[in-house]
Amino acid sequence: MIELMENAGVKNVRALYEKIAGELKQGDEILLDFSRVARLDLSLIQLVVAAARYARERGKTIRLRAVSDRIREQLDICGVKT
Amino acid sequence: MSEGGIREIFLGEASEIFENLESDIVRLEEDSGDAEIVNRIFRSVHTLKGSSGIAGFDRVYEFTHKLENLLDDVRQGRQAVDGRLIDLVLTSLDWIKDEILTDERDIAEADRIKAGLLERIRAYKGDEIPAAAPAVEAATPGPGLQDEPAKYFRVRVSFREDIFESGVDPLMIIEDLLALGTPVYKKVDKSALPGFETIDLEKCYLKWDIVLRTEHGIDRIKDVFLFVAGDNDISIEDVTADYGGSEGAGKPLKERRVGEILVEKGILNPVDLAAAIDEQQSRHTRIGEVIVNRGLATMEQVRDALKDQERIKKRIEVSTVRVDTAKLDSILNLLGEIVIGQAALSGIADGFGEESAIGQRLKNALFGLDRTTREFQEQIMSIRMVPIGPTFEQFRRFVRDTSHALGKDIRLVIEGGETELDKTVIEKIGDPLKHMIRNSIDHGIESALERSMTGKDPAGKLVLRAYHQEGSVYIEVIDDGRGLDLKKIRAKAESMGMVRPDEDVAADRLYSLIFQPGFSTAEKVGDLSGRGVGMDVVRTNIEDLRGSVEVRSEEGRGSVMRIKLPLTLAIIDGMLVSVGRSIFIIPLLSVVESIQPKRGHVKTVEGKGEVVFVRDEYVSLIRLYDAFGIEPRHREPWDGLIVIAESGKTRVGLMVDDLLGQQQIVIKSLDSYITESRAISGAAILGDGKVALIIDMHGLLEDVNIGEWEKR
Repeated sequence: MIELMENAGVKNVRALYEKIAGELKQGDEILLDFSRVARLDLSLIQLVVAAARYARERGKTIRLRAVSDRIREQLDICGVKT
Repeated sequence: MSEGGIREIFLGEASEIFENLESDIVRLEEDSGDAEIVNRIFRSVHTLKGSSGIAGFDRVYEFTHKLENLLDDVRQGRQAVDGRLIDLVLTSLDWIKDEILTDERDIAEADRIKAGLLERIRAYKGDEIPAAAPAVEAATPGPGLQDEPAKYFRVRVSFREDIFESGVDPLMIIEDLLALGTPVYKKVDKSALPGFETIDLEKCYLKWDIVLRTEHGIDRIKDVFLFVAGDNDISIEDVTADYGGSEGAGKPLKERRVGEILVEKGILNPVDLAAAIDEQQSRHTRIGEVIVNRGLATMEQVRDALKDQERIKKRIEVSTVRVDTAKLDSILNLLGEIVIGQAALSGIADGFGEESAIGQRLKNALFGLDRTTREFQEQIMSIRMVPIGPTFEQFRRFVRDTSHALGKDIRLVIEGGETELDKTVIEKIGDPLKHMIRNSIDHGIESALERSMTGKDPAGKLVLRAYHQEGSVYIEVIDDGRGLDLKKIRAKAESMGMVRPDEDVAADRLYSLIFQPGFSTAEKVGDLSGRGVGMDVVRTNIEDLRGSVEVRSEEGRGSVMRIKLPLTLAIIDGMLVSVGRSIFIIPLLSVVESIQPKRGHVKTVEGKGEVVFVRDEYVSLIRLYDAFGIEPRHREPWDGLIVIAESGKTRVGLMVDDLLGQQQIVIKSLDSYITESRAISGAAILGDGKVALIIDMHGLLEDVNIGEWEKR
């Protein structure tokens, strides 16, 4: 499980990328925990979408956990159905 | 189209917008609660802004954008309408006009004025209840839009890839946008998003295409992108009309696609339509087919939509024709040539004699042709006819500013704005009308104090009225002021030697003196009128239009100045007369009667020249052969005929050899090098190919030195 930081955004997107890449190498399922996140920025959502595509192509899964309505709305704005 | 062409079109469009805007703004001052006027003003400013941008008037574009924001606040009910706002908008409009229409202007001065106006706009937007209108009841709230109909905007956003570097989160901007309404269509293009292994995490890859249903104006939408608009690809389009919103009702018709019509009719929803369009594009098929296949509408509904589409196309085709009046004049001239040819053919037909079968068939054919050409002529003339309303409307601003400058409160009432007259007449009537209105405001209508003291409504009333009567157009300028002061006019006339102190002069005759050159009873020369020039120019201008002007007045109650004008300047009914071998046309409107005088009825009176006695009065006699230097058939009036004709209130006898009949004449203008005589206003070609000259009565009287006053 990867817990996203409260202030998740473009400044720390690189760190999150490394974590996801590492998890994807090790396992078939990654759980992204949004419980501490109030809002996302676009860089993070792009990363999540790219990672989900990558995982799906390899028969792996990325699951989202503790997604607030606000985050769900943000994902929807970016064309991501949850 | 060339840049010059675009600018030319814009200048024409801008002039129309200015006229409408000024009128609407002044009307808003009179009725600050009229939401429709506010909307019209907003739309006009919006159009002005858009067109100025396209035409390259960047300074105007930027300035108008600020003004538009202010007006949007008024539309939304956030801003009050009061005198201060009206002044600000009118002054802003003056700046825009100068910027667009004045070729050589002082840029530094224009910038100074612009800065001042922008500061005022900013200050106005800053305090929603204007400081100058502390009394709440004095400031009528703007026509609030609690029931503002929904608008639809299509917003397409493609941020530049490196937008994150500037510290902007594109998602926040899209969220701000969506907070303004409800998306009825949203498509996120993620096709540019690279794979997980190649993604540049600090680049923006997503693009949006959103149709937003909102109660906000387009400026509010644009404000969302205020800080990113410059270097990102953002398009905002008002698509209200496409989504059946009421905002589009007053807009020009726009071609509709079948799917859009089905959405408008409520048969299809925009989301289904978007999906159908996607399928249609991928399959390269017809949208109607996809819609029917998907079960979104029946074949019959699609057919109906196709028919509606066709109807809209036709409406667009017939509602957007603009024709240069020069082209209409050219058509009219050509028609004149056809009429001439027709008359020549009639002559040939007559030559065959009553018994000739060919002659008879020719006559029958010509009879039908004559009817068609008359109808043709009437149709062309009707195209030239335009209502006088817009001309009247442009005086709203003038009346407001002039009366304010004099500290007077005057309300302008417009009646009969739908009255139509020839475009050429309308173009030339503006200046005389302005003089007359100014005269009424300056000298006619009293100050509020003076009016109150005489028991009148402190606010004066000025009426501009137009109507048709007996083949002429009448325009009246009516005021409820103090009326003309007969004693002052008489005194002035005596001092100018126009009236002898012991002479008995009728009121009508004294009133008409205000149209004499240099005649003014004003006690001081002000900024407005009182210089004695103006009213005589008014009369000259109106007579140049073959019209006349008269004044009626009642002391203490007001005055009526009435202009009589011909319906058109292109065609006249004329009386054809011969003098020697020449043919002249006297406008029928000027002709009173024709007589053959007795020898004893013609005499010479000292100071008046040759006169002829007609119906108990002597009128000046003009021998046309003398006036035009022609060898006549008859040298003496009692051998020929006298046509009694008038110009204004001056009546004269024109000696001619013979009367040839009456005819409708298509006037052909004469270049100034052909005749410098003011006595000839144009020419006409007759059926037999001969040229006849048209007599200008006013010019003729001036040429032979018969002034209105001398004749009385």
